[in-house]
Amino acid sequence: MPGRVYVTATEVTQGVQTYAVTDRRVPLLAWRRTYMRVLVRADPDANGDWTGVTAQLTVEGSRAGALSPVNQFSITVPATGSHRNTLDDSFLFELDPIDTRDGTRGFTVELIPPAGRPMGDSSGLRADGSMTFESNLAGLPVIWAFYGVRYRYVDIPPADQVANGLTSSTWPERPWSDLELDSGYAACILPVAYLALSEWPGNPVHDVEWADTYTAGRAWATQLADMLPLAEGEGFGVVVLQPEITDRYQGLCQALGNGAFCINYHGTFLNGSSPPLDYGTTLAHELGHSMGLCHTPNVDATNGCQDLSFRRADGSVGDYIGVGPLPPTSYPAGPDVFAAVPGENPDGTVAECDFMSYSTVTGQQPVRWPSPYMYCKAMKGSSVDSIDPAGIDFYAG
Amino acid sequence: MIGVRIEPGHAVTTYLYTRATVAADGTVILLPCDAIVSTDLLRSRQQSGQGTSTLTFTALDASGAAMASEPASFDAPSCDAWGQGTAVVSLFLPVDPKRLPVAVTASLEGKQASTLKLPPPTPGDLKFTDSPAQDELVAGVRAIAWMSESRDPSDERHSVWYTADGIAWIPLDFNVLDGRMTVDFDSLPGSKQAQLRIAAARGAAVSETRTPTFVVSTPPIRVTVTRPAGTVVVAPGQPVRVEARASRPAGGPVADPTAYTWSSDLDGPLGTGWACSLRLKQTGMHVLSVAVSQDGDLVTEPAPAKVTVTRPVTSFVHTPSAENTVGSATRLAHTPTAAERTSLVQVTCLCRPRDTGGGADPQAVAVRYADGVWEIVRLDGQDIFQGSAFVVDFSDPGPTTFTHLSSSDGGEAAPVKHQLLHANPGALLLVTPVQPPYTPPAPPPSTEPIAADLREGRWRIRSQSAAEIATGSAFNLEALIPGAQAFLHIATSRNIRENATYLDHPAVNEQPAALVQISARVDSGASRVRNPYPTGVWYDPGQQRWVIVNPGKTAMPEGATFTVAVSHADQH
Repeated sequence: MPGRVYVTATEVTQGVQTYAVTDRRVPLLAWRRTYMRVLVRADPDANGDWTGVTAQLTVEGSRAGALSPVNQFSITVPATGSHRNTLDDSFLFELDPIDTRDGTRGFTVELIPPAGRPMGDSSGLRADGSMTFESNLAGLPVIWAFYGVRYRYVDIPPADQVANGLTSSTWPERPWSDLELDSGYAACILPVAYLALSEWPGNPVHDVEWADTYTAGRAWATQLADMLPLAEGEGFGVVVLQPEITDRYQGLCQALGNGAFCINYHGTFLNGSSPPLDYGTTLAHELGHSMGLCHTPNVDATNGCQDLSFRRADGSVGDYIGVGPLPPTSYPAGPDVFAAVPGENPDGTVAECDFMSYSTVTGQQPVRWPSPYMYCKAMKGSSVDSIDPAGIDFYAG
Repeated sequence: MIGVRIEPGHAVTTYLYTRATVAADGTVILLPCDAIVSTDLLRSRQQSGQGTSTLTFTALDASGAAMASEPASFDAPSCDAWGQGTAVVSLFLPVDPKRLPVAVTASLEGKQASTLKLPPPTPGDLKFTDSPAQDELVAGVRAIAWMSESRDPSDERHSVWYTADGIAWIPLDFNVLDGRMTVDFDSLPGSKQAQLRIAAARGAAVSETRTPTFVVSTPPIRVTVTRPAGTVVVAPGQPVRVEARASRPAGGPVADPTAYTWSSDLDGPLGTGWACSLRLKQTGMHVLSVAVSQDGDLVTEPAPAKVTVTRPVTSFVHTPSAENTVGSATRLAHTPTAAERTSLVQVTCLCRPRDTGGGADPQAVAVRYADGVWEIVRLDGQDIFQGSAFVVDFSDPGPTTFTHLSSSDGGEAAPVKHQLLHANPGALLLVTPVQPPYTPPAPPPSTEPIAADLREGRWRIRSQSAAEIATGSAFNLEALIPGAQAFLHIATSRNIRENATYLDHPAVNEQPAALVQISARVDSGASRVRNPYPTGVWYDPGQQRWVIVNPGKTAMPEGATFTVAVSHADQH
């Protein structure tokens, strides 16, 4: 009796998505990086495991033709079904950007078993569905824009130079490319089609007296942001990247009277005091504030507003599973390394904390992925309420 | 503490800040204060006092006439010099306090008053020491410097401004400490009448200096490609992530994703969007670029990193021996991937015919998986020639490497459907017969030499001798686009010598270590020449050329056509 392989579920996600068993869906933003997960299962036969199975995705009206998986071209389909917590026994596709434009379109997933292998029931080889992408009210992609600026410390006393491992009285500014990397990673977390980082005119690098501390750098950036013309609609502001890199997370987001925001933050090492850097986690958190997000309730109120509707007291993501080009250590260059980001371990313990918490899981790189609740709530902010995810409170559970 | 912000109507970007203290007896004293940091900081101080008293501020011109007046409520009893009660009031003036004398008075419930006369301006105490000259063309990153002739410049706050039209001034930096700044002129709006301005503020006094007009030539759209970065090596069809951002200097980002078009110098147009995953086809080194268009302007920017596309194969030479060969089959135990039954294997005879001084003629072969190992088997069932060798390419199934199963309408030819081959007459195809490793077994491979055939846009696998190909027969295929590792060779009178045709291509010329795979095609030209014989390759050291050979003295026909793919040992 020949065995078979078949599709058990498809899931369109732009970073985080709910289970298929619910009626809720995290809305899809037009022009945002979009993935499709295809979960599969096999009935084995005398030929053993179903190795060498691949799949292809066709989007209705797409000029890209049939797409191949981006995680791995072929897999061994498990007899117990794909594990949602990982990507190694399921298929992951990335949609052509133009196929994520505003509107609804159908898709077809087809499994392709090895040539020549006898197959029983083939009805499960194909799965069809549709997906809808939304823009803001003007029909444009949801964009969050900011100017990046940097500063350096000057006149650092010799004792402080030694204490900070410096060899001169100047602590130089971080390279512009670090801002780009932070921004690129933050864009994976935040509900925006495009996180638009621009240089402030002239690309200034400000001198801050060491004695004046980072608050002077922040005040300088605030002054720049204060000069931005009053604007309505999607976000805009100034982000200042401090020279420091420490083992702690530090950043601040201020809302200004002209509608702009000003963010200052510094770099953070992953797991200690040496590279690699945790690219983008802090920036994503602070930009979350700029979209109107408060902290999870476990963050002390002295650090800013708390979102008491967030129901997990420990700031954890819950049993949702994210997908992204992770981890941050692999983000900066080269081909994408995709990973699933489960909020919970198989035993139900916390695997990931929400990016608006201060929490990290002991012994684990602080990925800090968005929960559907925070993601959808930020979507209201980033789209200026033009996209209103139904049942945000549902996701808080 | 009371803050007063004065915003002259025609110079809205400049404002002053003073404060007042209220003594216990209600006396109001106005003091010069620091230059304002930001309106937001002002707002942050607007903690509401209990508001038991009202202080009224009035701005006076030189004649003492009131220009503007505003009240501010505060909790007078709790105030001291830096007390908790705080209020801010804005006085919008019809004059510029930098140019005309202005005084501010404060009165408490009409009983007490204090007056602050703003210091007179001190123009002319700044000058540039390094700046663009008149009509100079300025581009890229450049330092500018200036100095203050003030006796105490440490008390000054300098700001740097830029204008493209002499009217609107763009702030570049504030609170500059040491009279110098590095400016990226490429990020500024282009102009033939550009100017820089330095403004210095000391309390209420402001002075400034400007450069002569100079020229800034910047592209209408500035494009930066942020990915790919570093060295990128991929297989054909494997996604390559690209990302770019574009903006107009001082005009914001180019937000329309359809304004971004990606292309490769080898493959042509590839995709649309700020970021996408491109699938490159042609082997070789690609230079990727993005073209950004908006409002009739078009800027093309190449990616800093080049992407090398290489065949996804592990290549080696297999030599049959007594240890690995029994009869018509020789086992490929050489490679660590040999045990993968899903691997794709391509084989070409590496043999110099006996009559040309070699040891073995080409043999028609296939591959099959047996007892956990891939092996090469002669299609005619005869023993593998002693002295022969085979070029072997191993690959995993992928976008360009796959197994094709002939369908029921195969007949002589088995149609092939593949994304890379669809409507692509320039594509190339390597073919090796294979017996899939499953039960019940597929039909044994055809014993006839086979060839790829492109006709009317459809690819087929065809028997060279017109024999029928059984339904269910399988072939390992590798789809290729001509490039650095693949090309089409046609036998002509110029390159044929008896039973051989000499290759002439940079990828293989004078490359004795190259590993060359070939497959026949029958669709070149109108003649549709068939060469129904096993073929092989060898390197002629005298000519320093690779040769495709027929067995024995079988003449190579003019028009015989071959797909040639090249790799090197241990590639990948």
